[in-house]
Amino acid sequence: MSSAGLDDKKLLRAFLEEAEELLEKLNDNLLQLEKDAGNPDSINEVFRLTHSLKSESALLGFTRLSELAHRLEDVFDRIRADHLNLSRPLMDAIFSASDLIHEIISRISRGQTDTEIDIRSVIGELQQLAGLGLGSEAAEPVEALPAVASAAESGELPLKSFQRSQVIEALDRGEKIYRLRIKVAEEAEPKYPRAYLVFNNLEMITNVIQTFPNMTAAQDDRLYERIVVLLSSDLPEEKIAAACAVDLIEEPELEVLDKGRIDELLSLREQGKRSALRASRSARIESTSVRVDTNKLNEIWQLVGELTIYKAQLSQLHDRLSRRRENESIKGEVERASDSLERITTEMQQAIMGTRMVPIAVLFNKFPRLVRDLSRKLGKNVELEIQGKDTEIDRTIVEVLSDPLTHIIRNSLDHGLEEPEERRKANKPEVGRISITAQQQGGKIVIEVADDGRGLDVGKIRKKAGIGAEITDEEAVQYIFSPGFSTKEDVTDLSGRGVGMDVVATRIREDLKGEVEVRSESGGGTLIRILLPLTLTILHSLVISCSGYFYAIPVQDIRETVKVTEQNTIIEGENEFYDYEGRKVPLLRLDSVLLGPTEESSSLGLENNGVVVEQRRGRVCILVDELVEEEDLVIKPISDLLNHRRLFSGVTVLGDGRIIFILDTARIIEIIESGGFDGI
Amino acid sequence: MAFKVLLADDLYFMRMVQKEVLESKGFQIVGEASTGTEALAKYQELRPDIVILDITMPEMNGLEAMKRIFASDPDAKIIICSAIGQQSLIVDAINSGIKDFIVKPFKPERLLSAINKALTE
Amino acid sequence: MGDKYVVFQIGEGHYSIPLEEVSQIIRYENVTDVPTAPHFVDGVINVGGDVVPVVNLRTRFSLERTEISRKNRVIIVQKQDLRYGLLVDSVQEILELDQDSVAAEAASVFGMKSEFVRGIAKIRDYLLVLLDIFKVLSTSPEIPIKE
Repeated sequence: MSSAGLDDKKLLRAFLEEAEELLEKLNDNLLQLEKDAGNPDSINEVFRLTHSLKSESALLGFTRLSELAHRLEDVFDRIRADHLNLSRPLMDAIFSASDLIHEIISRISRGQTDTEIDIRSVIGELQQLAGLGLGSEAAEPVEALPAVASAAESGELPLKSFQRSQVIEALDRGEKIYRLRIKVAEEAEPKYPRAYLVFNNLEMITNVIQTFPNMTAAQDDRLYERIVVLLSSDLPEEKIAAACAVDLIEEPELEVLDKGRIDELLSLREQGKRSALRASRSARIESTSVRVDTNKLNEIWQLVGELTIYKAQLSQLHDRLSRRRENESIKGEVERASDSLERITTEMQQAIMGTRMVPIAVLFNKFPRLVRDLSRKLGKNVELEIQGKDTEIDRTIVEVLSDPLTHIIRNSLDHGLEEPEERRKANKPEVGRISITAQQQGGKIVIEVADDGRGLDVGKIRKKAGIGAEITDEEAVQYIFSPGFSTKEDVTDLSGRGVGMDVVATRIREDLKGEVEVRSESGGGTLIRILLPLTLTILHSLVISCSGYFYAIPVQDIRETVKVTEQNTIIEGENEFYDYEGRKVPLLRLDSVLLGPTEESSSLGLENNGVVVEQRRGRVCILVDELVEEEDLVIKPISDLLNHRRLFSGVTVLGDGRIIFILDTARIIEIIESGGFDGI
Repeated sequence: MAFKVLLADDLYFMRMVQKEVLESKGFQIVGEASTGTEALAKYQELRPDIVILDITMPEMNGLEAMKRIFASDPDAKIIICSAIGQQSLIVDAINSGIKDFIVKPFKPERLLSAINKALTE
Repeated sequence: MGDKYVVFQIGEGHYSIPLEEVSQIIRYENVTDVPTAPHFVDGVINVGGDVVPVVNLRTRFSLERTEISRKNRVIIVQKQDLRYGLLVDSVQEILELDQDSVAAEAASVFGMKSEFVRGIAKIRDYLLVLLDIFKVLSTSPEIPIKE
């Protein structure tokens, strides 16, 4: 301590004063805990006190005392994290430790040291009772370490394809490729953040292509003793080397790679240098598969969503810069940053989509059993065929889809498929067939459940729904999805707890933002088709403007964009309609609905933009000012305070920071169908 | 001219030791804070050349204070003090822009070399 | 040992909310107008990617609007998933209050119904009202907070 020129006596006195106070508080709290073992305040207080004591005594070189305090701190850390209970014997051991601390401090105050004190036995007791490990918990020797380290050293770590393209792009821009090696000093503990300091500095001024070990996902700390970084830059070497001027970083070596070496690097594919690849794979045993908390995934997903916004902002910034003459170098940098960001976010989105996606097999796997059991019960002979079970869907969709799908299948078995006798009479094969298929089609997941049974009784449906002749058979059968269509009497308890296809449809439309339709022929079987968006939160939308404000309409709800003129509108009393392919579609003036009636509302003018949106319940032609653009939007939930009329299904932030609301087309159509916006 | 340092740590003793170490080498301690809130306020009031900030402080914890200091002054120089095993916090802090970090318990020499390196760039 | 509160002013009144309900305090900038929102919602702001409504507390407390000055701040409060921005005249300080110095208030204070008031405290030369801000925010727009 004197090496740093401190007044030892003064320090010691201050330390002792603090320590006395600390001990007194510690004792009080321990006594409190004896009476009330679960008291969280006391537990936290003891934890804090032992933590402080640990730090302070270490500072003055009282290592035994510090260690003892450290062990106590560990014990209380586990207690407060609920991993440990304060049993009688443990409490006794803690008191022994506390007494020992007291003794040590007395000795120190008498001018002695703590080195002669035997703390081993007390610590041993604590360890036994508290189940503490001896030092650090993780102790598997990473044997593959040397193999990988040498692979990196000799520069033989293969590049991933996007890294390879980074090298090529860098060369195109006239940059040089460097390999930087650094060593983290022995006494640096932990090593990873030390190395991270350098990595962070480098990232700010150069383009880091590859690091070994991986800097973005921390691995075993011991691996970070030696770091190798592959980077590109057009800065002078001194500048790059300056990024390594971090404390406890040693032996920085920066070398420029010549064409020969670069070619070698680029040609390092999976074939050649297999041993390095195998070695690098085995060294990462601990980190290849990780159990991830779904909440964390959601957090990351949110972050990716934000990144998408910033990426867009950056590219807009670049556009703005491009239009000006000056700032060539800044422009270049922005372009580079923009490219990197673009690349990274795309990769991230895909990677994360990957972690969120599960094969739909997890859902389908229970159906063979279900079909077998049910068909046996019903005395029917049914075969199930599943296709596309490897199709990937978002995890969150799986849970919500399970019930509706199960219900559809039960329905098929119960009502759709006939008994063997009836099938024979109808000249059908005795074995009935149900097929479930899933595939990705144009940015959506399409799931179809088909059976070759009776098909739907169109006549019954028409009667029940009160449908007139102008509705075709194909459209009539869709009415099974209308709310309230099925009643308790229709449904046997095999098909589920008295619910029908209308509830299934609601789940799919509202909870999953999907669509469902049915195709059926009398005697020829039934096909139910479900369309789901790939993910729940990124929506391909059309941005429109209305009275200077911007809104978005999900493209999946849009039937067509049209031009509305006086010629193709029909007026009936107070209602306006748009003539769409010979049919009357209610016309909705968005400005009046959202902002209140305006003066211009009355006349239509020459030509107006209309967006025909469609949901099962019906169609509406929404009158807007401009069709601005089509975009993939990250949808965020909307605060109730902003949505008291519930006209919006979410809100999003555009690339330029503008905030726009997403129209809830289903709700809008519902309002129109039930008589209009008055009073809403 | 002496460099101005702001010390932020909830332990009086810690601050005293740091003060001793730094003042003996010619640094000027212009202020001390014992909570994150105080650290932020004093930073804005005193505008020191560098801040030594403990991230284990309770009540507007050190990390929050660090972020707010950076928000108010992107060029702020901050060295954080952390406990062992707070790796992700340290990385978070590095991403926010700290110059260096020291792990407690630390030796005075470490504090000095870190602060010297951070101030002479 | 007491709890910390953020103290702010609306008109002549001093109000406070617990620090733990506050996630950020920012300036009134880049507020996007939302015509379809209630009259006391001045608009929305983008806070870390989230779209947060800005509630003008002066308006909500039935005081007349004033021009935005450098002193105005937006206090972002958060409870679980709900986030709101509160536009206040100024933020005074962060105060630590002992529970003993806070008096529970049953009757209305300064024309504010008691259901919105968690307590009051005498601070130097003013009376501080401890608000139940989430009660204020969840009250139907037609119902005034203050008489």
